[in-house]
Order: sequence, then C-alpha cells, then structure tokens
Amino acid sequence: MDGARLQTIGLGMRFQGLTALADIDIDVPAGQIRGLIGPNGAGKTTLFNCLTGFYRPTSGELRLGDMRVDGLEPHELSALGISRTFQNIRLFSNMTALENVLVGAHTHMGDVRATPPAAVRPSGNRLVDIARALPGAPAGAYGSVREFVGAVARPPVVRASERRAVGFARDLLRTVGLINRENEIARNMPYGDQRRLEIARALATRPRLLLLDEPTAGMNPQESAAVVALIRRVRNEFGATVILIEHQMRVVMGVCEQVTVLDYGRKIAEGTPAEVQRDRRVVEAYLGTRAVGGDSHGTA
Amino acid sequence: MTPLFLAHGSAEFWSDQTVNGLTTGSIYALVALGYTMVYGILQLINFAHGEVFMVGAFAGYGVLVALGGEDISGVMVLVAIILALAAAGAASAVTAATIERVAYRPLRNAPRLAPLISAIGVSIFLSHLVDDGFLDGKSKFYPQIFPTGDLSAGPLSISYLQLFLIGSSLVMMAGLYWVVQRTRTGKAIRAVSESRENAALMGIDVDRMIVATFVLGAIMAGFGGVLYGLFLSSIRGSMGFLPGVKAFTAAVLGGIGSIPGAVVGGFFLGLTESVGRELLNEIPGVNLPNEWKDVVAFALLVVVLIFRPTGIFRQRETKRA
Repeated sequence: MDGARLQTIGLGMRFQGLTALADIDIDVPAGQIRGLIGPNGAGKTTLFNCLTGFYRPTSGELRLGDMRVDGLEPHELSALGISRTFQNIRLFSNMTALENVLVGAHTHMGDVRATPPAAVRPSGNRLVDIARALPGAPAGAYGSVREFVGAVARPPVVRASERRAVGFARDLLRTVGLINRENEIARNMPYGDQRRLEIARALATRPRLLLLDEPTAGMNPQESAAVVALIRRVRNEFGATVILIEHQMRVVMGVCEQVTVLDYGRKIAEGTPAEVQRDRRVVEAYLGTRAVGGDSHGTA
Repeated sequence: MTPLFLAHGSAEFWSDQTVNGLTTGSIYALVALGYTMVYGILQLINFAHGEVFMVGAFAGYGVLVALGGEDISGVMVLVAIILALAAAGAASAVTAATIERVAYRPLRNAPRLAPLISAIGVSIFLSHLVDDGFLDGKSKFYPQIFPTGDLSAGPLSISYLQLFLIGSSLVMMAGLYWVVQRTRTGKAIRAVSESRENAALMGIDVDRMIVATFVLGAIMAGFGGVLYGLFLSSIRGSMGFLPGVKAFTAAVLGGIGSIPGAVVGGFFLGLTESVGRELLNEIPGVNLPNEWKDVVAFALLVVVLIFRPTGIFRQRETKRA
C-alpha cells in the first residue's frame, strides 16, 4: 500500500458562534511524516475529527489523493484509507489484543477494501441490480446479507480471507512488539502496551494516511523513543503518510520532516522543525508576546 | 408433564417442576437474547420484541398448516418443524429489520425516551393488527404433531416435546454465541456495542451492524415463537406481550447487555416460576397456585433490582452484546 497526499483547501469548522478552524490550507505529500503542533485549544484535534469524518467541515475542501472526501462518513473514509489513534486511548477494552486488531483487519480484507463509496459496482447478477435500483431499496441490503451469510457459512473464500486477516493481524502485533500478548484483554494491558496496540489497530485498516494524536502522551523518554522508532518504521514499511499531533518537542524534532503550527484555529507557520522553532509567531503563540517583544528578557 | 395426583414434595413432583421451569425458561432465554443484544448496542429497550416473537410463531404456524397440519406424521414431522423454524426466523428477521428502519433509525439522535415510546407504539400496532385486522380476535391452534410420550429414569421424567424444546433452544443459543464470538460479523457487532465511533473508524458500517443485531435477536425470538406454539398450542396477536415482558425481566435479571446473562436469567426466571413458587408453598400457611407464577416472577425482579441493580452478571464486565 502507498501513502496518499492529503490536501485541505480553505478548510473551516464552526460550532454555532465559535470558529474552531478557519481557512486551513495544508498540503502533505504522500509518504511524509508531518507534525501538527500548537498550544492547547489550537484546533489540532478538531482538524483530526474533520479528517476522519466525525465532524463535517463547514467550509472548504478535503482531498485524499485525487479524490474529494469531505462530507463522507467515518467508515467510508476508513475504507479509503484514513486511520487514527486517540489522545485518550480508545481500544475495544473487552476484546483481546488480537481481536482489536482483527476488527480493523476484517473490514479491509479482499473485496471489502476501498470501494469508492459513491460508485456502485454492478453485481454481475441482473436480478440483484434490478432489486437494488428499486426506489426505497435499502442501500447495501444485498451486501449485508452476503457479508452475513459469508461470515456464518464460511465458504472457502471467506475462510481464506479470515486466515489472511489473522496472519496480517499477528504481523502487526509483531511489528509493535505485542505478539506475546495477543490473547490478553485490552483493558488489562499496561498503558504503554495499550498505546502500541492502538497503533497496530490503526495500521490494520491499511491506512494510506495515518493520524496519530499524541502517541507519546504520558510516556517516559525511553518509551517515547521506542514510539518514534515505530512511527519511522511504519512509514518506511507501510509507506503511509503520517500526521502527528505532538507536544514533546524532542519527538517532533526527531521524526517529523515538516511541521504545521496552528493557533486559535489558524495556520500560523509551516516548515522544517528547525525553521518552525525559530519562527517568531510560533514562539509568541507558545510563550506569549512579551517573551518575544524583548522589552525585558530579550529572548528570540 | 405435571400430573395433578403427584404427591406434593415427592421426588417426582420436584423433578417435574424443574423440567417445567427449564422448558419455559428456554423460551424466555431465547427471547431475552434479543432484548439484551439490542440494549447492548443501542441502549434501547425494544418493546416491540415480543411482537417479533409473535410474528415468528405465526410464520411457523403457516408452514405447518401448509404442509398438512395435523396430518403431518413420521419423518415429515421433523422436516416440517425445521422448515417452520426457518420460516419463523426469516419472518421475524424481516419484521425486526423493518421496525428498526421505520421506527428506530429516524430517532437515532433523538432523546432516549423517543425511541422507547416508538417501540411501545410498534408493539401495540402489531399485536392489534394481527388480532383485530387478521384474526378477528380469535386464536389459532398449532397442529399437535409432536410425538407424545415420556422419557423416564427413576423419579426423573421428561416428555419428548420438553426435551426437544430445551435441547433445541440450547443448540440455538450456542449457535448465536458462536456467531457473536467467532465470526467477523460478530466481532463487528461487539465492536459497535463497545464504541460506535471507534467501530466506524475501523471501517465498520455501524448502521449495518445495528440491523445485524436486530436480525440475530429476531431469529432467536422467531425460533422461540415456534417452540412456544408447539408447547402451548394457542397463538394470538397479543401472545407476545407477557413472554416479552418476562424475557425482558430475564434479561434484566441476568444483567442487561450480557448474552450469557440473558440465558442464565431466562432459565432462572423459568425455574423461579415453578420450583421457586413451590418452595414458597413449603412454608406453612402459604398456598400459591400456578396462576401466581407471574406474581412470583415480578416480585423476584423487584427484589433483585433492589439488591443487585446490575443483574446477576455485572454490566461492566459483560457488556459485550
């Protein structure tokens, strides 16, 4: 799988009177690791929620590769290859590690993978096509029945695809170093392992764009370093485009090729980590204007 | 069977009460599964579930009558019952999926009371539609085709029909458990019931899995409807009400949202109505005839809710629809 280019063009998100994002233009080339930083409340997580379909942007465009994707449902965006992790871990806490990863893997095996949601492929059966075209025919009813019958009757095709899913899920657990804990219930796992499991689960959907929301939150320097190495591996092995919300500058400097800075819902700077670090507006946003004004401390 | 001449307190008597309790309990358990699964995924009490059960009973009745009614005999009995179960499962599934689409989905983001009222409306609509619209207030009677006779060992005795009811319902429940635990549809349903948002992110079509949940619960209820008809013979449009409320009680007793809880709760309730009631009769001065079974059942519900509001299986550990 290959990474996909992500573009936001004049993206805006308003909640009643509150403007959470305004006029965001971001262009992340395929396969890049992009940092997304900014003070609390800058709109970073809101942007992630727009990219995953939890929020419908109130203005602007969202493009993944060549396709315009704003307004799609979360599961459709997932099918197109957008996946994420959360600042506060959200695993399926009553499922085992392996099951968590499988939930992602199953929906993306074989023929279910990345059917552009708008396009309805002819089924090859004329009766089915006619039934589908009837006014009021429940969209996807045919697909639901086929999926369910397949899941229960498990013809060889389904068995093979399930076997592949399990193999793929185990590979991912191996990648994040959890292969020995595959049967542990997620909520009983240590915090660091849960974070890594969430990354494995996000990878299971075979993302072309992976969004990581503070993957090192609450980790000590050694654990953070391990996650940084993991992110780099993920990009190199899976080729996914990665956008990373991060507060630890050490992590941002260590892994991001480009950094975008948000403040009060606007993009205030963009560039390499070193450039951004020197940017006056960025320092202002983080430390306040006085720190830059030089009237007493002379910082820059 | 409960011959009336059995001495109260004899081994035969208690064995019969146990078998009776397990028989009704198996039907409660089958119906309770639908309540608990839908609750697990939507936090909605689907009060129309009793009517889904009723539709299944009528579909099974239709098949049995079409195949010859009372004249069915020999190996055809088995074939007819399997076909009746299949038809009932299908009819109930279609009914439940339609109810979900028409009465619940448009209210998905409404306050929680709205779908509940909608559910009660659907329930009343369906039971009256069948009773007054189609049957003119009369009952239908299931053809009595099941071989009669008992299987006995010492004081234990069980009729073939009861054995079939208990055995087949256990097989169906095991099948459901397998679907939910082992298949990918089952995993997706469990994922949605843990977190809708999260499941959508994994590429799961949440609406589709909600329908699948309704359908699975409805299939169990449809099977239960046929077993009910075979056992109690008389079916009506309003037949779903009391078993529905009882099954809901069973689901709550077991811990609503929990699949094993629904099964345990169903059998527990069935046994309470028979064995529990007779145990109370052992107290001098107490005499609760069979008609009091509903009083005993609902008194139990109140007591359990006071002392253990989350049911026998705790919600947090077992919330896995």
